[in-house]
Amino acid sequence: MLFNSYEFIFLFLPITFFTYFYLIHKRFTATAKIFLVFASLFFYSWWNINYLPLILLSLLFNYSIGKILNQKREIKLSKKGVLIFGVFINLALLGYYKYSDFFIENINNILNLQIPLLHLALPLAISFFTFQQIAFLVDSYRQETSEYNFLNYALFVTFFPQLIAGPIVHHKEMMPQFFATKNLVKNYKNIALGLFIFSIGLFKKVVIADSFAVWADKGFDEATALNFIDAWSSSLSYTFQLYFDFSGYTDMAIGAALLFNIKLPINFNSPYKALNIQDFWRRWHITLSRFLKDYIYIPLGGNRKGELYTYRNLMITFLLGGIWHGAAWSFLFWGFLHGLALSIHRFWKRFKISMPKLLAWFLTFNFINITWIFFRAHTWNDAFKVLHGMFHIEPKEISHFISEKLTILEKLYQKIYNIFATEIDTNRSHTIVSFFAHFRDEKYAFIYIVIAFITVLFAKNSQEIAQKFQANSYYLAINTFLFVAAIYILSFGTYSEFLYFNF
Amino acid sequence: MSYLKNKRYVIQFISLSLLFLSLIWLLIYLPIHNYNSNRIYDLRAVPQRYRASLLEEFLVKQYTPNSILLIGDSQANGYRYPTDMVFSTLLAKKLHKKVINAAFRGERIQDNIYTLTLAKKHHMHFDTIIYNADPSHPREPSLHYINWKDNLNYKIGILKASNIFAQFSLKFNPTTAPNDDIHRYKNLDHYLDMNQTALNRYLKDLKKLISLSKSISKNVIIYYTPHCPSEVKRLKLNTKAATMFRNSVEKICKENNVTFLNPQIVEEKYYKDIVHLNSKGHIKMANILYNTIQKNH
Repeated sequence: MLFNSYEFIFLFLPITFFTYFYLIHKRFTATAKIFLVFASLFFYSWWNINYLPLILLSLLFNYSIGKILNQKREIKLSKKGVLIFGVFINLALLGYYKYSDFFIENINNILNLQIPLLHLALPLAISFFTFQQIAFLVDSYRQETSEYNFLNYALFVTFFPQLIAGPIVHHKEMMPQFFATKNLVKNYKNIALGLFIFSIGLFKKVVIADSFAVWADKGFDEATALNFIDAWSSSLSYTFQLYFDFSGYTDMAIGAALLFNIKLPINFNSPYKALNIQDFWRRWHITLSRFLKDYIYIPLGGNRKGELYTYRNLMITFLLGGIWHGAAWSFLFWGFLHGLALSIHRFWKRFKISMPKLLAWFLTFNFINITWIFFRAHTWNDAFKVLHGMFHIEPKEISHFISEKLTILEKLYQKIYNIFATEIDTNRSHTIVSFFAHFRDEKYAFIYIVIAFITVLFAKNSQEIAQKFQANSYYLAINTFLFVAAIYILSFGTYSEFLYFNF
Repeated sequence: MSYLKNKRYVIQFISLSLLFLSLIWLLIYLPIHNYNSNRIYDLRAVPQRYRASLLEEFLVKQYTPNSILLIGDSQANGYRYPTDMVFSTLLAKKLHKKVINAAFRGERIQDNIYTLTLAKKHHMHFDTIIYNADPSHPREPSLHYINWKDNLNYKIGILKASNIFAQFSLKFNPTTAPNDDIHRYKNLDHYLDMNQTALNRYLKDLKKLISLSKSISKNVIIYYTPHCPSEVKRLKLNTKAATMFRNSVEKICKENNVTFLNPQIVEEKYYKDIVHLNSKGHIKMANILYNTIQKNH
């Protein structure tokens, strides 16, 4: 079930919310939690019920392994062996569903064989719940977990707001919340804030990300060649689409979880404001960065074994981070570029030369924008098509673009002027309504890109806005507008999956 | 700025959202839902730029695999007769198959091509496609009624042109049948006239229409639009041009291996006017098409 679907917003979410708190009100606390687990599994199965046994098995397996690892007394088995076995099974499951065809394809290419592909559908959320549970096993081995009962563990893994695409939650931050008695009481402050953050996320996804998607898809998938302007427009559209799509999803997850008094960790902190690549990774998909750091980079030795080992560890971490996103060489290459950039940044820091802020931002943003091309393109040819266009400048195209956009700006001004100029506008085509009707036309892409730049660079992000939230009429008006506008635009019938559902 | 308590905020947010969404639903979706579930309406009653999105949504809503698609003009649409009396409905009952009547008054070949393009875009596949080739159309080769280049979503149209949509959604279908007596036009000058250039252009478009139809259906039936012979004679219309048109259409159908049908409806008792069928005419037409489809299968 998608967060941006009518069945989720108008049926699943309200029914789950009211039933959960009704059961708690009647003092059936355990039943309420069981209900929430079942509701979450229903939410998961809505997409494809065939993979329900998979998540259930994974849940039972990891809980059992965690139980063994968590025992304080000595056991007959080697705990390290149990941990390795547990992690291996998790990775094998992920590998089987996610990487089998990639592996077979490459074997076929190298050895010139014809092994048939398995064409397995990637079970939804497998990358997320696998990582979440590996972290649990490692911490159980380190004796950093408490005795959790199966119900709370099942809720920790399946809790629907974070199940599909994160944030990748850590048991240390989730389990105490499921235990806390105060969280079993309906909290209107959390509900109000949750609805507000959910509406921001819905608006980001439906109105902003899905509009950028139209232009990104055209450039990457449909065009056979791109000129300078179109190539930049396509790559920037994807850069903004990915951010608004994923951060929109995260906002909706955080908002939905808050209705149940659960605080999910933040996942984005204005990443496109980053002034270097390290800064970017502290702001982008924060919970993934945290997982990669705690469970790959630091166990590899982090920066404790000298400069060369640090570069190696960075590279391994990001190569794995790349391939985690998808089974393709382009993802691996994307991870390699980021690993390389982080190594270069680390090397640069040794000289203690500070760069002007504007230049630092410019370099960082463009690096990210260019590397997203490999992340987005389905084939190498698509990636090189966009890159070729971006660096093939034709002065005529630029002057034509500027004059065309100035005309559009003039028309836009005229439209706005017409609204205020007369009460009765006989020429109805010159109204803001007609602009609204065409809001996803290609000619407006550049206006969107400019607005997106201003938003991501100068506006507060949703977490910062949420911190200032107060239940007053000002926020109520904004909240209602964001929600109603997003729901109305959803009715245009173009709602789509979140990008991170593919990973 | 008045500060509200959290509980009041939540209640007000839900109430306001529901209020606005209900208003949108009542004003926009409800009428249009009824409207698009009760086809045989006059698409031309709404401003030109909203027709494309209406037609698209109608096709998407009505489509079921292996249904029959009927495209054409007012004759195929069943002009002036209620839904249950027109030949598309009668044919559906006889065949036990869905017949999607996507024809509308005056619809030109360019519009029909656009309808097929939409069907192809949505990966539809039909059991049969039926199109009526009307000899009165080629004389205006550039005429079309759907503006597919500059179209607006009708949901916005309902807000913008609320008057028209409100009137339209209340009476988009005829509810009672007129009497079956023939209406005689005083004159229809140049009704069947056409020059060779216009005819050639029409035939070129027809080839395109056939090619598109074949890409989404195995059975394509092109029928020559029958006219009331006594009225054609009375009005002294150009039958020579109409015959030339019919022969050319038949030839193209043969070349493209699609069924050409020349319905023999010659008696005045089947017509409401020179071209539109009355209730008896619809029954007869449904029988003719039924036999042709059975033969093709």
